[in-house]
Amino acid sequence: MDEYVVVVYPDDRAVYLDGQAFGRTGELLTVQRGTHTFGLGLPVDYRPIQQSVLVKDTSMDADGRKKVYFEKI
Amino acid sequence: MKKSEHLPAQARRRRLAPVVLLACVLLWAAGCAHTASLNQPLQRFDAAAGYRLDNLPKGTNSDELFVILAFSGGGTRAAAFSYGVLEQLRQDHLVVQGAKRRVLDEVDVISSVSGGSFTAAYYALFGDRIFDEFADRFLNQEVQGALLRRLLLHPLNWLRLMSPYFSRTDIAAEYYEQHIFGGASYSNLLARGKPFLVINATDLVRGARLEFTQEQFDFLYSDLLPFPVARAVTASSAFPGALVPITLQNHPAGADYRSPPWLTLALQDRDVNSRRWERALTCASYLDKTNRPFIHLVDGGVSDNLGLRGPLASVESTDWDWSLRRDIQNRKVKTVVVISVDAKTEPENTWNQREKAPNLIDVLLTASTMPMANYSGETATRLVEEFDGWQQQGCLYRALRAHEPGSYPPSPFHDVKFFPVHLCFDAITNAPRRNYFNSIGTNFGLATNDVAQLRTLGGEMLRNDSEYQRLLTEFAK
Repeated sequence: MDEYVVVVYPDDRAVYLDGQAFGRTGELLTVQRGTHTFGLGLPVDYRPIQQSVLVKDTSMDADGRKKVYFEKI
Repeated sequence: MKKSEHLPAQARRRRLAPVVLLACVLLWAAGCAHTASLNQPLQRFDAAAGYRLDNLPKGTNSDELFVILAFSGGGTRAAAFSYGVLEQLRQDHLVVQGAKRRVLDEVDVISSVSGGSFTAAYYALFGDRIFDEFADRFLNQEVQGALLRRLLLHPLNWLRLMSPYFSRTDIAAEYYEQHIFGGASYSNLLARGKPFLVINATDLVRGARLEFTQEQFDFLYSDLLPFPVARAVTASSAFPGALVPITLQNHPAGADYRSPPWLTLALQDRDVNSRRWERALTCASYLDKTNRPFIHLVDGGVSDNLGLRGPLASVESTDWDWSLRRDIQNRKVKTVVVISVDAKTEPENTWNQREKAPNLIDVLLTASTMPMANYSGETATRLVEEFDGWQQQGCLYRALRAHEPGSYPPSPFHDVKFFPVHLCFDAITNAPRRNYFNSIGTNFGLATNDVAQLRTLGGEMLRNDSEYQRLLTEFAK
């Protein structure tokens, strides 16, 4: 059960999925269906610090991907 | 008047001495015969320490090519079949990052069950020594007979068996330790480096796969490093009925213990990802120290006779320490090879040729092993289907991205190449030959000729496998 996520942030930054480094912002992340926490690498110039997201029923195409947004502060 | 009444007190005491000595020996033997506490508690919790893939010395093994071997159960038949595959992997070469290497040296993980665990553990511990020693030490040994002799002919073992904490499984573990694995522990495995050994057993109460890795032992607040490899192999091959379960102590967690972040998230996922939720439920059950202070383990084949469930979870999920999916997303791994060595047999069955129904024992035996065989078959099919699916998705995604790069961002997962290899007796085209291999029993004492034939078959099947040939061609220069 693969699901597709893009983490949106103005800069290129490491993504943390459930506490572990997992790909980068702006690229297609292939994750297993379910609840995950997303965060970004240093420096901590973004918010929220971490967000818990249920990822399901996504697809590879632009409209079907789950987008997780982080705001630059 | 009895003669003894005339004896002085000193002489009577002398006469009683052997009885008292015997009683002492009995008590000592029963007292010593307590093996449940062999798994030591952690001194302190560190989610990054211990026997984990990332902690192994890398050696010359490349990162971008990730090779997994999965050795099935099936007694010496499985051990010899998988040994033949290792022999072939030693002969073949790949060119990785400009360097020519044996395929064997590129193996990253061996996941094993029951009989396959003997070959897997021996190679992981001793490397190429396996090719000089293993046939004499194990494959051509009448191990079953030797265990039976230990059980029946050693009076000390009769005494030890009187303890409720000592069983014939412990006798097997001691034999494996003395004659095969030489007292090696997981510390030795860690020092040795790749391949990472994942020995699989089954948690009898949950019916779930339990692997001998520190990640799994963290839930038991136990340190895997001092644990004897022989005992892990014994648990992996403790076929219900033939051997009794191996017991692990589920130690109380220290105040420093932290469960992995995915666990609480996955426990919310019953309706969206039941497989993930089920895994989380099993892991969470080990944190219930009150109701589960002991964990009883039987043959890994009861939950996964191919040793493929771990590798599959690693490609599908990011929950575990050794997550291939994470390594792929982080652009560390670019090619994944899984070689599943499946020694399952399908002996000829003539029940339908006679009116008389099969007897109770035959029915019970079939009923207890058939679900396992079906489940294994389903796992192997799923692996190949998943890999095919990812391969096709990758082709599609790359085509879309080439056409419309602005709409399709980079996707490391879709750039990966997968090579699934499944070796099994079903694929033997010559019927008499197939029947011969299907008729080899599941035990730990095969005829030398059977062992030789299985070794030859393992190498031959791997050589002729189309996916394996595709791999060799892909990495020819």
